[in-house]
Amino acid sequence: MPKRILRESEVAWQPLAQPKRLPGKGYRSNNARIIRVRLLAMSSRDSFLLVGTANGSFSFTLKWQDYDLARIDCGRRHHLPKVQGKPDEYVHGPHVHYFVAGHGLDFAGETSGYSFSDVNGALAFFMRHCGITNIPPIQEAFRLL
Amino acid sequence: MRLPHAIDLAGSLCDYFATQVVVEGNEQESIALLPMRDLHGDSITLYIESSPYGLSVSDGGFVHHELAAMSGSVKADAEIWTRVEEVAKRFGIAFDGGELNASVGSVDQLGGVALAIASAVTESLYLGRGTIPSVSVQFWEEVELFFRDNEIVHETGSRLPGVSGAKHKIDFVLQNGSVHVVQAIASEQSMRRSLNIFYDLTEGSSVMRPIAFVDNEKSGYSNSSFQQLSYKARVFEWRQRGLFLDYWSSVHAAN
Repeated sequence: MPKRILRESEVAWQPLAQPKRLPGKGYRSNNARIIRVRLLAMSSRDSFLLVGTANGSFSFTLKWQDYDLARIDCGRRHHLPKVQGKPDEYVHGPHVHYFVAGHGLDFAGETSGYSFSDVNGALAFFMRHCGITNIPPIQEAFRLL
Repeated sequence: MRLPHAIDLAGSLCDYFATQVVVEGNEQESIALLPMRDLHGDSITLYIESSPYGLSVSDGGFVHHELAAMSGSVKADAEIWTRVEEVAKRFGIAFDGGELNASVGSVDQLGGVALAIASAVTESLYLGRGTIPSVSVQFWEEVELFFRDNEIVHETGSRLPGVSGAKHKIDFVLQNGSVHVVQAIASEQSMRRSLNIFYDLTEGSSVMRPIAFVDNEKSGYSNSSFQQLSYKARVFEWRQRGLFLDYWSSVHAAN
């Protein structure tokens, strides 16, 4: 379903405070940030929310009402829902979770459309995947040091 | 089936775990994929680094960014982080800097810590399941999008004085020969408020032309309010918003 971004200014990373950061202690996750973009369907009045977070690794989820419809993340190994009597099946590397009624986002398909090392590239891929028609440049967060 | 000996059961379990644990990495950092999964079926991943005290093990901030996305909590002192900290304590690990983490003195202790962090990750993620982020697109935002799409020049948030002397915040002001004051109405309350504004603005002036867009997908409008509004303003139901464009063209042509 084609969608449009309600306000292009929302396509901007916002700082995400990291709780109880202890001085002198090294942390793997840095520059934590969050993005929330409201979307409207082109052919109806349905509204959606694209929410993403990043702090070294990242995830992006498309939400509609209280359903998650699609997701990408940095999970390196996805375990597909078990089919009784069949061996376990996995998806390795970048993958797209998609909604199946009764299973949420448990199903996923492999993709070469994004990489774990390029968060904004992954966001642009996900916006295209979600059918967003007006994708603006992605604004970085300003952070006071 | 007869119950196998305990040693055979233990062997079978360990064999399974051995096939499910995958560790990749280099001299600086290793990544361990565990058999346990997150809410979406992805293997829980741990990051293992060398530290002055031995090894530091962390979820890499996974719980922090997942819960922030689920709950919308962006502040460092949000209540949800206190609850994650409590979960971490219960498993004998720490939650600081946005990471579930622990240090081990030797590699022998790694298994226990890995299980503790994985358990804390799983339990913490459930803290965010009850929250539903609001996707609130206000009706006036849809109206504004409609104006933008049709290149109708508009001002938002203007405050205009009425006959009573009170200043009213108007959703949109359009200029096309005369001043059009536009209200986006999506509830009985906003309909009554708009009526009051329209009466106050136009009582002593014929310059202003009141226009109302009414969200027809909302219910609860009273007949009397609707009738008064139709008398006082030019009303466009949202499903027939194309009619506004015809009206706007006719106004433009008249000028």
